[in-house]
Amino acid sequence: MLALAGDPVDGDTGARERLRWFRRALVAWGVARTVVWTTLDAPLDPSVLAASLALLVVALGLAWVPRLETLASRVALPALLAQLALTFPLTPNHFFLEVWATALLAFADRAGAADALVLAGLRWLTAIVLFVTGCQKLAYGHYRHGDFLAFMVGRGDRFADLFAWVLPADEIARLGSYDAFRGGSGPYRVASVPFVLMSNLVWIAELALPAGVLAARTRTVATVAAMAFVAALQLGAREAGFAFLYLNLLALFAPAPLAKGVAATSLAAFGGIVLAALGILPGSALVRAWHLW
Amino acid sequence: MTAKRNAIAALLAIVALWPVAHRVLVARYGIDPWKLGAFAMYATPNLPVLVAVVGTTTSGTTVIDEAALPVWVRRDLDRFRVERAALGTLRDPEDVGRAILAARPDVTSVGILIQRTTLDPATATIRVATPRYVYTR
Repeated sequence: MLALAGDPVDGDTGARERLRWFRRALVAWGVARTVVWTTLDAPLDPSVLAASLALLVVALGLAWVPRLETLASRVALPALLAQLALTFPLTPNHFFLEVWATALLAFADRAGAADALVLAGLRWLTAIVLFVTGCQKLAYGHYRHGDFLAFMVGRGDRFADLFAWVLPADEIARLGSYDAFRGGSGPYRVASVPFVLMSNLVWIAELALPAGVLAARTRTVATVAAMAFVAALQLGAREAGFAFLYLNLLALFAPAPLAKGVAATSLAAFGGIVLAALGILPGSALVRAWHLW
Repeated sequence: MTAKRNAIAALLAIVALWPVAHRVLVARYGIDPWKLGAFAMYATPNLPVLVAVVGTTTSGTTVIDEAALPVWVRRDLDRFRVERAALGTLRDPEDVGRAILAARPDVTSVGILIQRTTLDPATATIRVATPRYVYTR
């Protein structure tokens, strides 16, 4: 099963290069996220945060030394587990994704013998997570008639900007008039066919794209489509953390130059996020609004 | 290498299967679909779980002024709010109720009222559950 996500064209060197850039982006994200956490008014133990940040900075340094790079994830993993304990049970889901990816990378060794295996594991992780999000949307039953998105539009919440434009103004006003804390309020359901269609396209894409990226024949097209889909959706959700992580995971399926470009762009963005969070660059409010914790 | 392959396969199996167990826990205990790593965020609305505390004295039942409670009780109550929202009925309020009762010798009983709001997938309307827990001396 794991071999299904492999890529014989890459060969051993290709797998190592992909893991190298993904590792750098992943650990850099851990550092940037932790710096953001230290600037929030969250009830997190500052000494644990500081110790874990120090470990992650060490891991980031290791990730840039080819002879020691495989140690980076092994150093980062205990720091992430400490942060998991610190934030539980409010730990965001993108943090779990970060932990899973770091745990998989920790299986890579200096000799590179497990590189192809680790790459296949990370690709499966990417496919499984996207598939699971689609399954969950089906299981909760709020996407078939567009109820969830109608609710978000009514609340003026995330996704409202992305999906409300197809609804007439009176429908938006009706959805906005309901008291979401009063029993019987609603219905959060609209007649707009394009709106319901878009709602259904979300879970259909989340179920179909994982198969597309796993199959070698459709991989490149599906990867680009998945990247566009995830970027659009996460922009709507204002979930920068999930977007960065997931785009870098999807890049593991992409042609090597694109993968490296995604990682390099992410690294630059993480630098900007750190500087903004620390108040050196403008945009600290934006960093807080984009769910980086 | 076989050991690594098995370990990676096991990790991926956990990622794939945990959401099934999580869905059962959401249905059975009302845990937060958006939390605990099952990737069900944006599958359903996540409205805040509201918690209020009332106390009964000889003159009747009134809302307890949380600001007047000792700092450690307030901390426990804040923690309870977080844990209850994430863990649903798996997080019982008895310890918090008893702590408030101990901090307020003037009340004969403490009630913890919880409001959990969900969207009914059948009717697309708001459904409110308001369990009430009462602790007496």
